[in-house]
Amino acid sequence: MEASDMMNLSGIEAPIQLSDLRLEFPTYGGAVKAIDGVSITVGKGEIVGLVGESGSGKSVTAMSIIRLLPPDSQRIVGGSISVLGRDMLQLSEGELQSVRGDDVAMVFQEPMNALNPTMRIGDQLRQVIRRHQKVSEAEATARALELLRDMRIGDPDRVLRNYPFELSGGMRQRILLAMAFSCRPDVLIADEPTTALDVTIQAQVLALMQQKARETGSSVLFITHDMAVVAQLCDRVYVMYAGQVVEQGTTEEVLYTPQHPYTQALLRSLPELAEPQQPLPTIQGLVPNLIDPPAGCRFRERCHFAHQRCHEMPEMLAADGTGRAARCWLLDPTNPEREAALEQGRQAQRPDPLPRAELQSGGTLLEIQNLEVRFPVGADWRGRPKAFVHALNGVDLELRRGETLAIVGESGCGKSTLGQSIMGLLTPTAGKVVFSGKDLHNLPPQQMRELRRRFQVVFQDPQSSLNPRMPVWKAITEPLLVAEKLPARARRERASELGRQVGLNPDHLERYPHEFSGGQRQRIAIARALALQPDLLVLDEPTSALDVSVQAQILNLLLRLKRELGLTYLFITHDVSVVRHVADRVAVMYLGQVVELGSAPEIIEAPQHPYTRTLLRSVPELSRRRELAPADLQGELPNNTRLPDTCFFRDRCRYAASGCEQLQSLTTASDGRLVRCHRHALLPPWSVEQSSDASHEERPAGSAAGR
Amino acid sequence: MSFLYVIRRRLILLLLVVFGVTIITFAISHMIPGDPARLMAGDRATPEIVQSMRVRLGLDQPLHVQYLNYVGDLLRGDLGTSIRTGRPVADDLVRFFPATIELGVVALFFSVAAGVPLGVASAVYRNRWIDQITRTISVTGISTPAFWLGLLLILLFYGRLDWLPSSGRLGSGIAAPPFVTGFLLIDTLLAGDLLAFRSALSHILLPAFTLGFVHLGVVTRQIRSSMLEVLQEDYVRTAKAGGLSRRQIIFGHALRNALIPSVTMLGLAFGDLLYGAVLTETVFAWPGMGNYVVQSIHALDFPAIMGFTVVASVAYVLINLVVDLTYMLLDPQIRSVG
Repeated sequence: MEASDMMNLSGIEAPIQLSDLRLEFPTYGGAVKAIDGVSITVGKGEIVGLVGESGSGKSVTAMSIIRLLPPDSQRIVGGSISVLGRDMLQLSEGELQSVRGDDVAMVFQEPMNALNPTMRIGDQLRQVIRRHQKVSEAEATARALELLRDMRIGDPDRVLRNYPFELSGGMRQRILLAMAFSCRPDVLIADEPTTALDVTIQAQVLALMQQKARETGSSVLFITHDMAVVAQLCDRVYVMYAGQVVEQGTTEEVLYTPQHPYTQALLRSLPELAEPQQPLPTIQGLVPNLIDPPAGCRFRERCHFAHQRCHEMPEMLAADGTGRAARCWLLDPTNPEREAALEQGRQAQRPDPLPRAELQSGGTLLEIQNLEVRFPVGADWRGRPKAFVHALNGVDLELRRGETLAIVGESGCGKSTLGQSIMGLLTPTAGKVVFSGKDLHNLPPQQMRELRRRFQVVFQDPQSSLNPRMPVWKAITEPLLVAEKLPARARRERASELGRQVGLNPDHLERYPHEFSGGQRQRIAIARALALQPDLLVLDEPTSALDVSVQAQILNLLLRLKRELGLTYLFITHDVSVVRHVADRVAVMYLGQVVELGSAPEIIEAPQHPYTRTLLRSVPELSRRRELAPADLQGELPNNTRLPDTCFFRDRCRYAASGCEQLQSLTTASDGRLVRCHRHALLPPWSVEQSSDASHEERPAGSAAGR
Repeated sequence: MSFLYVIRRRLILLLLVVFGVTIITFAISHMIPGDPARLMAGDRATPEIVQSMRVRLGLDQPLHVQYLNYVGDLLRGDLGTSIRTGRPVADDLVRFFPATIELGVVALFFSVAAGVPLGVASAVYRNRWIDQITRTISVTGISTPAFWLGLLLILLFYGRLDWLPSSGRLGSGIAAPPFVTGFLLIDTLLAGDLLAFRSALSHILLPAFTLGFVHLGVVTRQIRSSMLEVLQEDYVRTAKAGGLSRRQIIFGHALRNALIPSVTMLGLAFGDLLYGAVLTETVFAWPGMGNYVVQSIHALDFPAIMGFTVVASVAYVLINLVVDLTYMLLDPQIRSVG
């Protein structure tokens, strides 16, 4: 590899060097070749990205570097792992323990589960510090406090005494970062550290991580599925597919001029780069089975450029004299089939654009009036709740027939509660949900059952929302059994029809959910929702659990179904790029209220409410060349057990001024959108705010660098 | 959820349980054929004597009055007079109950003290020989009838080796210590009588082992499966990535979390131990509730049966209250939010 060659020339070995690593998971069906010849180098002080979709082997690669996988569940069958000059495959368990956490630290994806729930934060931090450093308990405490302060945690003394459940996800990830940096590691391995976090919190954590890594000179291997995060953070990047590295190079090279057809296809399937409401290019087919992968290129069967030569496994071929390379025969200039394959690929890739749909404004389908929902928490000695979670605090919305209204916001903003209230799954504390003129929560059960057919829901996780012991055709048509008592044969016919509608092979409908991939299961869930021919679909994060290439397929399906069936969507999501792609109008929610409501393009191009601005600013974008989104480092998502009696966003708002101590109401702005901010007309335009961000960013003020 | 709230809810539950238990036992005692007055008066009593006995026992009054009288007495701690022994039932219970509780506690202690380490070892060395042996032991424990095991142990340790006594709570030549708690292991120590303590200990070993062995299998399996689950948790991975030693991870991080679900089971298990005691006590001639209840049933001694049932139910509810509180101690999240 070019990069490692350069390292070796300069006489210093790279902190992480994997060469031709091969790892298998033995199973009854045969060995799963999860990593098959992976070579990765991370130089001193570098931040290197490792991207890929689920099952690509990126996390397994990361864990194997410090030998974290259980020894009896996998075996390393070839190659070498060298970390800071040590051969990790030769070290004893005891030697590995002294490397882990000291020289090499690791942070993981799910901060909610990554801390011991029955142990105080302080004990967990001190334990790691004292494992590697000969310090007293008091010195360890002092060190822990200093680390927490470095991670911008206010009130670190209290946090040391806290249990994990008392802290938010963002807080916990900062603590895990503090733990990772506690022994000044030379290498940090970060496995999707911000994937479970909200974007504003993600921006904070990424900024802290980058700052700390630069300060300590640590090398970072950053594993993620999110290309936009790579674009912001990483110096170089490796792209993995089906257990192999298929492309490597600098971030700019790989993201802006990808060489491998897989990288190209992956990037194209991002809604961020597409024309809104037009079909996204997708990747056909499925990732090959790694027990018995096909000979030759692993991507061959899904590749538009596939040709005869691809039956032979390609090497990593250098594109030019730099470190970039891709595992594809197209990069071999002597390949005689090259030109023909390139032409064939170009022809095949374009999905046909759809004619721009006219939005027929068909009047109001659903109206939400001053909706409030609160949940009791805890119980005192009489069993009365100690407090209430105020999930929705007066939501007014109107959904017009035929439109897609996106509800966007971060965790705890009430967007899912809103969806569930609309579905009649929750009884609101106050307010009304009026569906086609009828108040849902004041309807006799018989009428409610009738009305319920007309709105259906699709949830985030198709895995857990389908009964594993019910063949798919029954699952799809179960609503017909309940609502129409249709006989089995008629339901079986309807199932094929619905299956065809959502792109499922009708011959596969006898199968059970576990036999389908995540994307197919989501198709099943959509078919099931369509069974009763509803008017309204509530889509609660329908693509959040899916890989981007699969997300593209589902978004295409949803857009097509809407046109064909004249559906109305309430699309709940946290993903701004998805909103931009699918929504006609968008409602931005914060702390159980709508803070901005209007046409989706207008709001995304020029947000007015300060929270919408913060949200959009924090969203990682592919175009940000190694620039982190500026983060407001102190802000935490608000506690919704005690509502402020001021503007809900005041404490985090950079524009807070007098008048903001009042509760805010929605007011109509000049372009007709609704904004919950009395100063919205006085704020600088979005374009001005963005350019000022670029000139003097709110970077963490470097705390005594190189401590 | 506050401690107070849990305690309050449990106490309300306790009242309901006592009400239910007294109603049921009372109803059954009046439905089963057999006239207590006739039993008490003896075979050769004249109808007049039986009748006067009936009046004396209050059996001539309407049912609801009888029930109210019974509950009123119960509240004053008067469980009635045993037909068989002629002593107040409360006195009998005080004499026999501690022996059973002592046996149950020692058996529970044994099953936990042996079962937790076995379960942990079994999970840590999953599918290795330690695990295979442990699983064999626990299946054996679960499927071995207590009376059979008891007889086998008596044959070996008393009959063949003569290391341990086969019956009773104390050796024949040893004076019982003054009654303080009713637990001989404690009372002998309080009296400073080491000889008696050793005798009590040697007497309790075989029955407690017999009784605990069944439960040992249950504890081992439970700990094994919850340890396996916890060892997969993300925070164990975090600890491992932090370079902590196996010991720190297993005992510092995993075990406490694995114990949480097991505690609930311990409360239920204690109930099983009380029932299991009946057989074990018979085999080892242990002078506890098991024997007392069996004899009372044979004699249709309703006051004794009802007294035992009520006290046992109360004990069961209280033990589960203790379990819930322990649960809260182990899990800080339940303590504060619930």
